[in-house]
Amino acid sequence: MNEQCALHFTGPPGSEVDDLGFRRPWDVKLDENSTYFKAANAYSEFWTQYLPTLVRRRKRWEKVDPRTHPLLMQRFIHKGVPSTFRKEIWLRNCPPRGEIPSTSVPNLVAEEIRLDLPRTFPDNIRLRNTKAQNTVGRILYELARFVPSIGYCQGLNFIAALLWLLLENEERTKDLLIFLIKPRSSWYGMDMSGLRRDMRVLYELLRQEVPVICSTLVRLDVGLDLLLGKWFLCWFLEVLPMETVLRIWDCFIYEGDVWFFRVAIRLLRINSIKIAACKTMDQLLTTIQSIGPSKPSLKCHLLIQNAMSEKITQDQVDALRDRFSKEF
Amino acid sequence: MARTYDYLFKLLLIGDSGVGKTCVLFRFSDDSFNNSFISTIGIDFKIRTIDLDGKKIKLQIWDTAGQERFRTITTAYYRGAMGIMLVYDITNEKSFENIKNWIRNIEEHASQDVERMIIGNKCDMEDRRVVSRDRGQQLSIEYGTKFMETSAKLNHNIEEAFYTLARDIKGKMERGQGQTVGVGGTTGRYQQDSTIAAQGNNLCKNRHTFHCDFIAF
Ligand SMILES: Nc1nc2c(ncn2[C@@H]2O[C@H](COP(=O)(O)OP(=O)(O)OP(=O)(O)O)[C@@H](O)[C@H]2O)c(=O)[nH]1
Ligand SMILES: [Mg+2]
Repeated sequence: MNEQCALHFTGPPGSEVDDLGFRRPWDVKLDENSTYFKAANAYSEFWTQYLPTLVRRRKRWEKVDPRTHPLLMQRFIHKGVPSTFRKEIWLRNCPPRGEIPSTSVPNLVAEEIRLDLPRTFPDNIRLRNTKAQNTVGRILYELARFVPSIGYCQGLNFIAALLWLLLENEERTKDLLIFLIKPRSSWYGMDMSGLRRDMRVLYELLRQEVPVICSTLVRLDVGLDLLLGKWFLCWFLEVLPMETVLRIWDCFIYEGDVWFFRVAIRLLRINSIKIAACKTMDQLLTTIQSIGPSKPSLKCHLLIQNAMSEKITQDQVDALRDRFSKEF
Repeated sequence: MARTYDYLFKLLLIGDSGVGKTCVLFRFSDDSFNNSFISTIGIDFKIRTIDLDGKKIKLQIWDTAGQERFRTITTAYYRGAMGIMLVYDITNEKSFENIKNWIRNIEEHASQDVERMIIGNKCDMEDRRVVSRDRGQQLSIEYGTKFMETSAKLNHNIEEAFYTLARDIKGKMERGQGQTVGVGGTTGRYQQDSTIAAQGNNLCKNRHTFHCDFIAF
């Protein structure tokens, strides 16, 4: 549906389906009039540049094995976890989820989950059948059992499905999903207070880092929750291209959600001139939506590198959270 | 830059998750229906310009997330809407009962004189219908709104619904009513930052004229 870019497909430009089961959205023989022409070209160009990086990183991981040195590990993770190592690295610090709580899940929650199953990555061939969709359903149901304050929140479907596609193991997916969502349960609860608080935190950081964004928001009377809520709720899924999402998750899972702030600030900084030029709320929303399919978003290696140079720490984020928590 | 339209109308689609708001909007804006839509997280919008009695009307149609918890984020933006479509699914009783709650929501957060319309979608699924046409009609009479049954899938009544709503807004406007539509004040979220706003620039000067582009949404 997104014609400007391959939002999900991460395979070599010549392959039909990638490792995660996402289809290439365009034909191999593409004529100039196709709406996908530009996207296909941009993707091929990106891929040609990125492939040597992937090969080099994989060799380095195989040769050096960074797992025994925390600092080395951090550097290696920033540079991207090779897909062959990803399962293990993502699950590395994830404990089993423990005893099932005795609370029961309301029917309504199960219904909400069911409604979203066919609407979760419809372009993924592995999710096309009811059996796979039911697996994602069970994963989400398990989360609802363990975190009753959330029940089900739209957006979690994408996170659960991607984790499952990547880990290929239902039980461990449940573990990891619960492990990663629990500390952020207030983002997804009935009042989404944690999300709004974190948008306030982001606003404060932007005030120091890219103040023109804040003056634009004030001038147009638009909140970050509306513009960027999805970025945080879905951890950039359905916003940025998949390879970029995976690279962000590598960092986030290892180091914490400061990475969401770093990436958000970097993307807004790159686009700050365009954003400041917006005269209406709809222009602003369009501008924000155009960030996803843009070239800087596709060039994940550079984006992560640049996001790292945003000097924001997890401690700083957590301190601001404390400061604003009373307001929400 | 010359304006390519005579009026700009902001419309809003609300209703429970899964009733087909996004499908209705896509049918109207892109004339397509497929099964690869994903649930709406937050808010989105589409534009289509229509001809109505010799005037070019640009419709800016906002599509919102149906899940209840997202209302904490989206209701702040109801206030700029001139027309609201309340959508339910004729195969889903609960979505119909919830129309009452959505109306209450509008009354709290949207402008007083916003044009409202109730839509019963998925009318192609006659075999699974649980809400009769009469009940839909009845409810709309109760709230004094127009009513239509639609199918985004079969493209039934979609054009008619949007044209009707647009015509009602236009009529109201030309009669000189509805002047307060879109002037619903601010979200109040940036009160402490008003100095920044003042420094920003004065593009907002015109925001209180009716059909300018600066109506806060
Ligand atoms: N048969 C039939 N199915 C429809 C029609 N409109 C929508 N649907 C189906 O209903 C499901 C939900 O439609 P959406 O448009 O995504 O629902 P929504 O109201 O936008 O839901 P949220 O984004 O979660 O608020 C989709 O799977 C569609 O295929 C219709 O007119 N007829
Ligand atoms: Mg929708």
